[in-house]
Formats: sequence, structure tokens, C-alpha cells
Amino acid sequence: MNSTTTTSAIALILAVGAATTWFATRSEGTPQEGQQDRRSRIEADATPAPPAGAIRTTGVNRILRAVPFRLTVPYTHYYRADQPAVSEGWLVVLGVSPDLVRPTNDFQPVLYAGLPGGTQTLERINQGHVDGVTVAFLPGDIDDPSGLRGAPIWFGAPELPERLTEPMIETERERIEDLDVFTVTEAALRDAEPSASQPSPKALQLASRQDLEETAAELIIQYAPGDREFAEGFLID
Amino acid sequence: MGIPKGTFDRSGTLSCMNDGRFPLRSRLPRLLRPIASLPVVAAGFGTLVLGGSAAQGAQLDQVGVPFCSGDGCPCGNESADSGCGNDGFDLDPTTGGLLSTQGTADVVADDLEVMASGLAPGALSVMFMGSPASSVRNGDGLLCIGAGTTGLFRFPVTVADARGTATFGSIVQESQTFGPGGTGALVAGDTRSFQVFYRDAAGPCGAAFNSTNGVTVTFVEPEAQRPTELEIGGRPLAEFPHFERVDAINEGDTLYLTLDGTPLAQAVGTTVDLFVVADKSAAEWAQDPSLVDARGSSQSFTILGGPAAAAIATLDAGTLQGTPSPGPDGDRVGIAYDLVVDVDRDGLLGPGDIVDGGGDAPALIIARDTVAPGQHAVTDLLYNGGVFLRQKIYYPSDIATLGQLPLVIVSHGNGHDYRWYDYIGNHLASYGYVVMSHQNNTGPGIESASRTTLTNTDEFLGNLDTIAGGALQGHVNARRIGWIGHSRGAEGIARAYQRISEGDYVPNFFHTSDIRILSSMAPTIFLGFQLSNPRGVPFHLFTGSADDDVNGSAGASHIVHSFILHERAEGERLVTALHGAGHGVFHSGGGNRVADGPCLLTFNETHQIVRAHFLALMAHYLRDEPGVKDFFWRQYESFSPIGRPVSPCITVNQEYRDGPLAGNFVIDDFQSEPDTALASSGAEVTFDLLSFEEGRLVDSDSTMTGGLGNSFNGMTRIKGVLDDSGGIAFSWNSPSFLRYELPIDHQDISGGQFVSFRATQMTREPETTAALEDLTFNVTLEDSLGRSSTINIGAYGGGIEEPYQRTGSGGGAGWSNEFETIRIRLTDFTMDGTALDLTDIAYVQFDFGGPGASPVGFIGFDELQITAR
Repeated sequence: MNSTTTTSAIALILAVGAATTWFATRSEGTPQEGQQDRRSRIEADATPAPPAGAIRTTGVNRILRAVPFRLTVPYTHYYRADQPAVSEGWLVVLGVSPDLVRPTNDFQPVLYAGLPGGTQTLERINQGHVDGVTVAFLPGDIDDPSGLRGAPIWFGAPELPERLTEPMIETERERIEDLDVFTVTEAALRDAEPSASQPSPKALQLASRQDLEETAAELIIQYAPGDREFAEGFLID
Repeated sequence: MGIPKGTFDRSGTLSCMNDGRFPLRSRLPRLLRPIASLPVVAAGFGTLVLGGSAAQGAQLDQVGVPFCSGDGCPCGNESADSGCGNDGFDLDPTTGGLLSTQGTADVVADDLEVMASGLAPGALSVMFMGSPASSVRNGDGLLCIGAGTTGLFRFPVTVADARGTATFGSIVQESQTFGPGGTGALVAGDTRSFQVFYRDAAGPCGAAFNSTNGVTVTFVEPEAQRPTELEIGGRPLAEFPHFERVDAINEGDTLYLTLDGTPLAQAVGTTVDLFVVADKSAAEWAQDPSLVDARGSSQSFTILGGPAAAAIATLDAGTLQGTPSPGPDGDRVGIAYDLVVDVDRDGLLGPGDIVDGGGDAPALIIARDTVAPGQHAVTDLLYNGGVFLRQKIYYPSDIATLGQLPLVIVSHGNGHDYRWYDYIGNHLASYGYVVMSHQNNTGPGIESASRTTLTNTDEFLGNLDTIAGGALQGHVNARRIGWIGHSRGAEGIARAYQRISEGDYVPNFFHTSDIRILSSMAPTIFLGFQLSNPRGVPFHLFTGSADDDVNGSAGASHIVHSFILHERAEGERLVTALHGAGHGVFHSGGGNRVADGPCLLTFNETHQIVRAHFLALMAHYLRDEPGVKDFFWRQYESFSPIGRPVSPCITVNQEYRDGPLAGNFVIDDFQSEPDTALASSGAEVTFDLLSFEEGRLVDSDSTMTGGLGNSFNGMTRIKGVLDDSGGIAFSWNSPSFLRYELPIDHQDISGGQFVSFRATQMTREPETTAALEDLTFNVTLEDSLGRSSTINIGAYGGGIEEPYQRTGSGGGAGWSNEFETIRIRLTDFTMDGTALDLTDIAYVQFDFGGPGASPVGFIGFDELQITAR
């Protein structure tokens, strides 16, 4: 009989050695999603969204603010499957139909915008059902000359945004082609983005998404006071 | 309660060996191997062999308590009912090495054998003895034991035999040389854990070695030198079995003891002394057998013989303390006691005496009011760690005086807020837990939500030196974590667990095995079996029958069928279903309850129920407190927290099922044997019921309207093809039966603890609506000599609850089906002088519609088993 101090214990040596190796080589708090074909598994294994209903052309009814922003540190846009890094875009305040943004844990309609560089999903920050106003991040090229002018903004089919692939997003764009969905007019943009008429629109220069969230929180308090308590959650030190 | 079953109360050992495995293998392998292609043969206790012998299953009465199943294995080689998957005996990476015990824990007899089965024949194997530890990946398996306070010792290398089993015997003798001067030698009262490491050259992860699960054994004195361990504490019942033996009663309730069913029951004229003793561990009893009564003095009791009622003694009229005094033990849910019948009246626990709680576990606890706050004032603060790393943290204000506290993390749902769970944070922190509720990125979906659960857990544990000015540093036990989620966040925690188990996310500051319990409140089910899956971790589910978001309607999308997540769990799993609870009342953010239906619960009523239940859950899974499990499965009508809301609207249905390592004998899982005349264990099944059907637990017509011939009307337990929960459904309108003839080599169930099953009234069916009330029926055990004993499930209080009377999703009233688990102690069948031989039970029978039972009914039925403990 031997105690564990006896080094001839083959398994213990193997055990400790392997454990040491494992600890030494493991990565640090990092999603290892590249190790598996995660997306294909999601598609194969998950419940599809319900059939897309008709587009509600009045789902988005006005644009109250459009604030271009640039970030020193990009953030990940989780509202589409390819999860691009975002370093610029618009912080928009939209008038919306309350029933389309009512809180639920089931599928919700996804908010889209048709930009010159392609269709983009918006990340809604507040729910907005109380006041009919939602504040959202819209990633995009703010240096594009047309900016938001003429951009349609609409609620598409209910889905989990993180599952939206480029073809799915473009399908949503095709669905509105002959519809009279809300479109950002020059006049509306002048009101929403006072610097828009200038040759070089003045962008909000922020360090990170956290600063952007705090700015969004201020807009929520201003335009969607029913979500004030929620917004204050972004304003803690 | 008491010591592991079979150590004291068995007159003999089982004559048959278990040479098979549980039929419920990890379900992932079914992707790889069509199950229909495998030969299925009856094997040992509760087991079937799929495709040939792999590992020996545990006997019902094994003294070793298994732990550390193959969950979170190094390369996805999970195996919920053994150690991590190996190449082993059957060349199947989805089955692993199983450690089990045979024989007794008697230190003199030294007949304990610890067996590692499912190994490759000839595999070099080495067994270690120590203390349980958090599991870490190691080779192709998990390392689950360490030196702890006991030291870590190694037994000689052993070679697996031709059947792939390595057997370690002479445990006590071998231990004599352990430690300097033999200080590690085993003596009575010692509790030690064992694990075997073995060579597995072609193992699935390439390390060439693997490990079994662990088992823990408490060693005892020789039988002639020790008292008899029996369960004797509880409360009287109005009908047979006349007494319910329990592991917990509420403070203020009367405590009784029964000698019915003990060797003393008919010792007419004998006078004994009854003691209620502050709980002692096995080692403490071995060191100090003196009896000091917690009531001040013992009581004498003279045995009168005759009816069962005469064998019942009142021990205490409700004066025994259940609320611990402030201090180190002040956070406990109750105070633990042992019960002793001092037969020789010498004031010492010794041979010939009867003890309940002679092992490490007590006889029972007297439970405090778990709805009321605990002993600590609570400090809360908001912490900003950055984007989606905002947190609200709750901790005992006197944390500087405390040790390392378990951690509970809350992940909110979509449209909810991380600051809306004060009722959970404040309550648990007042009982000495650290609670963190975090901002959850639920908008994009479940993957994103799971990510924020993971990153926030890491953020919190990685910044303890700065959070709250460093007040938490050194006071958070990162090895004991519970995750709570709500709605999308509730699915997110299951997805998060799956991700760390698969290595899809590697945490910085915790391991998979540090997550000890998941509790999901009204979870969504967006993702399939492979992605949102609690796997082998204990999983608890709260549902609200009045939920108007994740509404549970059988007519709605599977996304709102919360029960599916529970059905996927392979470890211990529990349900607490609240009639009248909406979606919003699971948080404390106020506003709309998001509820629909009659008898709606208020926020406060719901919080009273939920916070008390969380306290019990965390006490059980994060602190290993004894007795608490009674809160999980006993009928709410007969045992529930003292401060629960009192209203005729309060209906709580509960399910509890052991994990596959528990060693239960599954009579019928209703999944692996489609023939209705044959159970999964090989038991023959006969019945004369109506509308009898076996199938998957899913409503097939998307309406809950009754009377349409849908046998599984209102079932919401299945989503995709990989979800495989099955059951039976049947009705009756006259006396009818369902009878299981146990296979000959499965008829000794004396080492088991309960006959257990789950049942539900079938919503809106005419036989259900005929009488909207608790439904009852009779359970009978019959031995081979034709002697039988019958217990009505209503004898303990309650029955199978009627469905929540909500309308919509078709005609009629009633909502999706909620199972309730019924567990009846096997020894209850032997009360009141009943001559029944539990070593030779030929039939388990259920009788419906007869005298004392509901005359008409339509139920779903599932998970019929004999539990090991």
C-alpha cells in the first residue's frame, strides 16, 4: 500500500500532468465559437420563426432624432448573424406602433433600415410601448453622402435578430419594395439631425459603446419617459 | 433520512447482481446510432443493456453514494449515469466507467467492494480515497476528489477483468498503512470518497486515461456493536399507513415518533426511553454515544402492542427550535436532530437501540419560516463593469465576519431589468448568500443572453477586489454557484451551461462543475435539444399557469412550452408549478402581471412562495443542508413553508426526479419499450383501463379542447425529434387496474426507499372535468406469496391536482398538464403488522376507481421507479 506521495502512481501522474496541461493551455474567458459550426447547428436545431405576416407600413411613423456617432472602440452588433464590429452609425429616435414593441419573450418584429450600403438591422435600446417611441442604434456609414436620406425604416418579420443572415435580411428588404413604409425624408432629417444639411455632418465622437448607451439613455428619458427607470439603469457609475 | 440505506436496516444482501446499465443513455448518441438497431435485453436493477454490457449499475442498497457524473467532460464525451464516456468495454464513447459498491460499510467485516465497471478488459486501474472536490477535466474524464481534510490515498493498481470490471476489496485493511503511522486508517464514523482512474488507450479525447464517477461511503461499527438504523420520526396519518416518516417538519408543528414497523412494535410491556438529540455525525456518535435530550429530558414509553396508533409517541408539541440562533449556523434552513430509542435505557446509543440519524445525515430537521428574512442585514449596490456588464449585487452587510459564501446569479428576461429581482437578492443575502443580478442581452436571442450570463459571472468573480470596495474579496465561494434565469434569460442559463460544458466558452474564474444548480423561471424554448439543455446539472423549473407571455398553452408555439427544458435535463430535476402566477410576478419590477386566468396571484403572494423555494434550493444544492429536499416533492398541501400565502387560490404542483447516478430501479421509463405489455425494465404490464396509449408527451392537435380522442391532450413536454419524453395516458369510469409483474431478478426491492412516479390529470377531458378536485388512487405491492399492502396516494394529503381552470386555446377550461411526483416509502407498505416481504415483491399495482379512490379519471403517468434513497 502506498500513499499519494508515492510517485509511482501512474494515474496520479497522468492526472496531475494532464490537469496542468489543460489549465496552462485553456483560453481566457473567450467564446470558442470557431471550434464548432455553431451557426449551422443553430439552424438545424432551433425552432424557426413563425411565417412572416404582412408588413405594417405604419409600424414606424416618424423619426424624432438622428444623431450620427463615431466610436473609438467598436462594439459587436449582435442583431445579425455575422455580428459585425460597429464603429459608426446613427442613434435614432423613432415613433413606432406600441403593439409592435410591446415586451414579450416570444419572437418580436425586427427593425430594419435600408441604407445605401445595404439593409441593416437596428438594435432597439428601450421597448417604447408606453410612449410609442423607441431609441435604437443603427450601424452605418455616416460619411456616405446620402446618409439617412431616403432610407426606409420598417418592422420586418418576427425573428431572433442574432439568427439573421444576409439573405434573410435581404428578403426582408424585398418584402417592402412595393410598400409605402416609412422613409426618412430630407425635411424629417433636417428636424431630426440639425447638422445633416451641412457638408460634413457633425458626428458625436465617443470613446465606446458605453458612452453611446449613456447618450441613448438620455434620449430615452427625453422622448420615452415611460421607460425612464429602464434608462437610468445605463446611467450608474 | 439517516445513514445510507442498507447499512443498518437490511437483513441480507441482494442475491442478484446488476450487470447492466440504465436504459436512458445520453440522448445525443441517438444521432450517431439509431436506437432501434441495438439489441435491448433485460439486465440488473433498473437497467437495460444497449448493445451489450458496458458497466455494472449500482444496486438499490449500495452503501456508496454516487457523485460526479460525466457532465462537462473534456471532449463532449458526456455520460450522465457514469463517469465520462470512454472506449472501455463496449467501445462506445457515450458510456463511461461506473463506480459502485457492494457489501457493507462495516469496518470489521471489511466486506465492502468498490467496483469500476465499463472499462476495457485488462485496463490498469488505480483507486484513490479522499474528499469530494470540484471536478476539473483530467485526461478523458473528470477529477472529482482531493485531499480535503481527509488526505488523499491510493490503493494498489488493479487490472480490469474480462468483463471490464476492476474490483477493489479489503478497503479497511488496505487503509491501515495510509498516512504517517497509519493515521489515514479507516475507523467507524469515517466518511470517505473514492474514485478510480484507469487506462483507456483508445479513449475519445486522446489522453489514454479516464476516470469513473465518485462514490462516498460512511464506515460503521460491526452490526452486533451498533444500533439499528430506522426512520421513525414524522407525523400520524388518518388512514393506512397511519404514519408518514419525514425528513423535515415545520417549527411549531408537533413531532411524533412511531415504533410501528420496528422490531419493538410487538414487544408488549417493554418500556424504552425516547430521545431527541441535537444532530451528530457518524464520527461524533462513534466518539460520544451519550444521549443528551434537546428537550431537557428524555421520555419513557411503554409499548402496548395492538394497532399502529398505539405505537406512536408524541415527542414534542411544537416547542423544538427550528430557527437557528444567530451565528455561524444561523443561516441554515432548520435545526437538525437525531432520534433515539434507548432500549436498554442506559443513556447511551449502543447495540440494540434504534436510531434515526446515526449516520452523517440527521433524522430530520425542524424547519424555520423560510419566507421570513434571515439573520443578516443586506447591503446592495449597483456595479458598472461596462457594456452588458451592469450588475446589482446583494450581500450580507456583515460579510467581513463571514467565510466564503455561495454565489447566486440572476439573468433577467426580455423586456425585464436586472434591478427587478430585489425579492430574490435581499432574501438570499439575508441568509448568507452573495447574489448578483446582471444586465442581460436578451434582445438578439438566446445565444446573446447566454453570453451575458457567462461574461457577467466572470466579470463578477474577476473583480471581487474592486466591487464594493473589495468587501467581497475572499468571501465568495466560486466553487458553489447557482444560476437563476427568467424567461429568455431562463433559457439562456441552460444554453450557457451547455456552452461551457462543450468548451464553446471557457470561463476565466469558474468551471462547469462549479455551477451546482440551474433554476429557470418561465423559460422560453427557442433552441433545440442540442443547444438549450441543462444536461446533467440539477435543474429546477418554475412555471406560472396564468403566464400570458410564455403562456404554456398546448395550442401555442413550442417556444412557450417551458416544461421542455425540464424534460431535457438528465440530472436531478424539479418543477414547481404555481397556479395563478403570471409572467411578470416572477420579478419585482411591478407593473403588469402579464397574467390571464382565474385566481391570479399577486406579486407578493408569488414572491413569498418563490423566495422560500429558492432558499431551499440553494440550501440543498449550494450548502448540502439536510432535510431540505422534503420541500421539493412532498405535497404542498401537507408540507410547505410556514409563511406561505394562505388563500384558497394557492395551488403548487411539484415534480422531483433523481439523477441517473442515484442507482434507482426504473420499472418503466415509458420511452425505450414501445410494447404496452412490456415495461422498459422487462416487467410485464397488464391493465383494463380505457383509452390506454403510450406515446410522446405532446399534444398532437394544437388545441386543448377535451373529448376529441387526443390521449395526450394538453401535454407540452416535447419539441423536436430529439426530445423524447414519453408516458402513458388512460382513463377509467369503473374499478380498473394497471399491474406490473416485476422480473424475477428484480423482485428484491428492500434496499430501495420509495416507489415513485409522476401523474397528471388530463386537461379538459370529460373524465377530468367530471369532478374538479384532487384525484386519488391506490398503490399496491404484492409479494410472491400473494400477500399485499395497499396505500391510497391521498393518505399523505392532497392527490393529483385538477388543472388550472384557464380558458382559451380551444373549448373548455383547463391549462397545460402539470405532473406531480408521488413518492411512497416502501416500508410504509409494511406498517401495522402487514406481512409483506419487500425482498420478494412480484407485483406493483395501481387501482383506479375503487373504494376510497376517484371514481372517474383521465391521467397521464410516467417515471415509475423504485428509488435508492
